[in-house]
Amino acid sequence: MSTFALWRLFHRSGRSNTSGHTSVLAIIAFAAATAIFLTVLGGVHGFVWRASADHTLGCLFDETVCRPGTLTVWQHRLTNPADPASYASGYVMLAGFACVLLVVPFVALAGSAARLAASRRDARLAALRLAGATTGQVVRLTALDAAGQALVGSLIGILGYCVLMPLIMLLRFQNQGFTFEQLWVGVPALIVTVAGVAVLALVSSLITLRRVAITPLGVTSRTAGPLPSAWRAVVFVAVMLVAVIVFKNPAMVAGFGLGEVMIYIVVAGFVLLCFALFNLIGSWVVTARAKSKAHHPKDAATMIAMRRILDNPKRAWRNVSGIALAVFIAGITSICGFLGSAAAGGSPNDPATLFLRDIGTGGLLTLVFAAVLAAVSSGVMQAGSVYDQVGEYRMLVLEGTDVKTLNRARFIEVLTPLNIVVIVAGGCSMLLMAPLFAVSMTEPATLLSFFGGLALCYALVAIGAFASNRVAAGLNLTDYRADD
Amino acid sequence: MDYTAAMLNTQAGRGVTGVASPTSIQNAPSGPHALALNHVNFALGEGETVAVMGPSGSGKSTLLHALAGIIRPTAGTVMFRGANLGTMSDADRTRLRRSAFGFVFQSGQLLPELPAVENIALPMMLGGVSYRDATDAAMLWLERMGLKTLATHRPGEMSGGQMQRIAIARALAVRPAVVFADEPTGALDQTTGREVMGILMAAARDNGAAVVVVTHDPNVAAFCSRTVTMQDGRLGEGAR
Repeated sequence: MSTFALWRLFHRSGRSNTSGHTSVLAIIAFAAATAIFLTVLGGVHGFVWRASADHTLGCLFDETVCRPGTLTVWQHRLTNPADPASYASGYVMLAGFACVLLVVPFVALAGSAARLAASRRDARLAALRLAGATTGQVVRLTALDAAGQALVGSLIGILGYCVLMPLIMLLRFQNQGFTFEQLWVGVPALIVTVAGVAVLALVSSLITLRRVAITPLGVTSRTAGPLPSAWRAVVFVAVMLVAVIVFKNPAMVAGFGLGEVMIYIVVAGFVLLCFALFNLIGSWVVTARAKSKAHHPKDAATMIAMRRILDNPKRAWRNVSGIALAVFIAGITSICGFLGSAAAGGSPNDPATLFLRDIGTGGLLTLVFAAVLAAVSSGVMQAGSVYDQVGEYRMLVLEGTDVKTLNRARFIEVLTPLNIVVIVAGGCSMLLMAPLFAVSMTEPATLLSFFGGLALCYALVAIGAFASNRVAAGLNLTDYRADD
Repeated sequence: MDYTAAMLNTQAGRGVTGVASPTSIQNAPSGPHALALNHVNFALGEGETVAVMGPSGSGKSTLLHALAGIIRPTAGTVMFRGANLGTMSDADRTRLRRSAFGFVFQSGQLLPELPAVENIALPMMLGGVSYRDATDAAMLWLERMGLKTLATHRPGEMSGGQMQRIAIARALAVRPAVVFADEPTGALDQTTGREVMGILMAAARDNGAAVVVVTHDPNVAAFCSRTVTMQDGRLGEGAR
C-alpha cells in the first residue's frame, strides 16, 4: 500500500477527532507565520526598492548591474540633503536587523506548528503499526501530514499577506506610504516561502518522530526525563557578561583595528547571539521556577500546573518562548520609542528627524509582529495542550474536579513560566541596551515603550488562554465509555 | 430510573423510566433514541458491595455514570441521601463526586505527571486540604498499601497492580460513602486482580464505604455481597 493511500485511509475516519482539531491548529499557526513572514519580507523589499537606483536588489549591492540612466538620477538624489534617500541604506540595514530579530519567533511558531502536526497521533500510529504498517510508512505518513498542513497553511498565509498589504500601505516611512509594487515580494519569493515552510515542517516533524518510538504496542510510558542542566545558564551568563563588557567599551573593538561599521556589526551580532541563546536557557529557567513552586504548592491547581511543567519543561518553554523573545525585542526596541519621541521636536521634513521617527515606528512594528507571532504560538500550543490532555481532564472531571480548577491549572501552567521568562528576558535586553544608551534608558518614552510592550505581550497571552478555555469548554468531558 | 444510593436508610424508588446515554443520542440518525438504560431500579445500602455484570454494551458503565451523577438520566430520579442528583446543578454534582464518591477505573486514572503521593493527595487538596496535610495523609495510605517506597515514583514507573493500589488509595483517601469501580482488574492478571480486589474490599470495609463494581469477571463479582446483571439496558438480580 502506498503512503498516499495510507494517508487517505488514515484521514477518512479522523476528521472530527482530536487529531483533526490539532490539524486545524497547525494550519492556523502555519498560516499566521507565513502571513507575518511575507508581510515583513514585503517591508524589507519596500526599503530595498527605495534604496536601490533601479529598485532591484542587485543594483543595491553592485552599481554596475543597475539599469542604464538610473544610477545618475539616484546619485543626484543622494547629494540632496533634503531628500530622505540619503538615509535609504540605513533603512535597509535596520529593516534587515528587525527581520533577523523576527526570524527566531517565526521559526519558533513554525516549529510549534510542525510539532503539533506530527504529535498527538501516537495511538493511531501505533494502531497502524499493529495493523502491519512499517516504521518507514508511519514516518512518511507523518511527514506527508505535516507537509500537507504546512502547504495549506502557507497558502492561506499568502492570502493573509495580501489582506494585510493595504494596512501596511497606510504606514508612512521616509515621509511616504508604501505602494503595492514596493510591498509585493514576487511570485518566486512566494514559491520559495511555501517550499521553505513545507521543508521546515518536514524537518521538525521528523525530529519530533525521532523522539517518539511508535511500536505496535503503543508509545513508551511517560516517565520522568532528565531536566535541563545548569551548564546552559553558565554559557548564557558568560556570553551576556562578554557582551556587556564589549558594549561598555566599543573602543575596544576599534582598538583591534576594526572600523566603525565593524563596531555596529559586533554590537548587532552580540544582541542576536544573546537573543538566540535565550532559547537555550529558557527551559532551564522554567524548570528552576517550577521546581521551587512544586515543593509546597498552595493548592491543587498549582500542584497540577507545576508537575505538568516539570513533566516536559521544553513544552512549557515553547508555550511562552515567543512571548519571552517578544519581550527581549521590546527591550531592544524600547530605545526606538525614545528616538521616535526625540524626533517630535524637529522639522517634520528633515531627513534626520524622519529617520529617528521611523526608527520609533519600525521598532514598534517589529514588537507588534513579534508579539502577534508569539501570541499565535502560545494560543495554538495552549489549545493543543488541551487536546493532548483530554483524557486526563476527563478523568479529573469524573472524579469531581471543577472546570474552574482545570482552567486555573492551565493558566498557571502558562503564567508561571511566562512571569519568570519575562523578568529574565526583559532584564537581559535592558542590561544589553544600558551600556549603549545609558541615560536614555531611564527616559519616560523608553520606559513607556518597554512596559507598553510588556502589557501587549500579557494581553495577547491572556487572549491565548481565553481561546484555550473555549477549546476546553467545547470538549465533551463526561461522555465517556469504558466498555459499554 | 430510580437509583437510591441508600446510604442512610433511604428507600429505593419505584419509578420506571430509561436513561439515554449522550452517545446513543449523538449516534442515532433519526427516530427514537436507543436507550442505554431502560426500566432500571437500583438501591444500595450503606457499606454494601454490589457487582454489576453483563455483556459489553448492556449499559453497565452508563448505570455507573448515572449513579455517580456524571450523566443525568433523561427521565427518572437518582437519589443520594435524600437529594435528587438529576435536579442538582453541575457544580453541586461535581462537589458531591469530590466529597462523597471515589472512583477506580480499569487504567489511566492517575495523572502521569504526578508522583504517587501527590496523586493520592490530589482529591484531598481539591477539597481544600493543605498540601502538607494532604501529602501526610497520602503517605499513611501508601504505607497501608505497602507502597511507601513508591511515594515519589510516577505512574509510568509502576506496574499495573501498583497503579491500581494507588488508585484505590486515592479513591478512599477522601473517605467516600461509595466507591465506583469500573473494571478495576481489567488490565491485570488474575493473581494481581484478586490481590487488588482484596485490597479494595478490605479498605472500603474499614472505611464503611459501599462499593459498586462493574465487571465481566465472575471472580471479581465473587468479592461482592450482591451481584446484579445488566442485559440490553435492563437490570436483573444475579445468582446472589
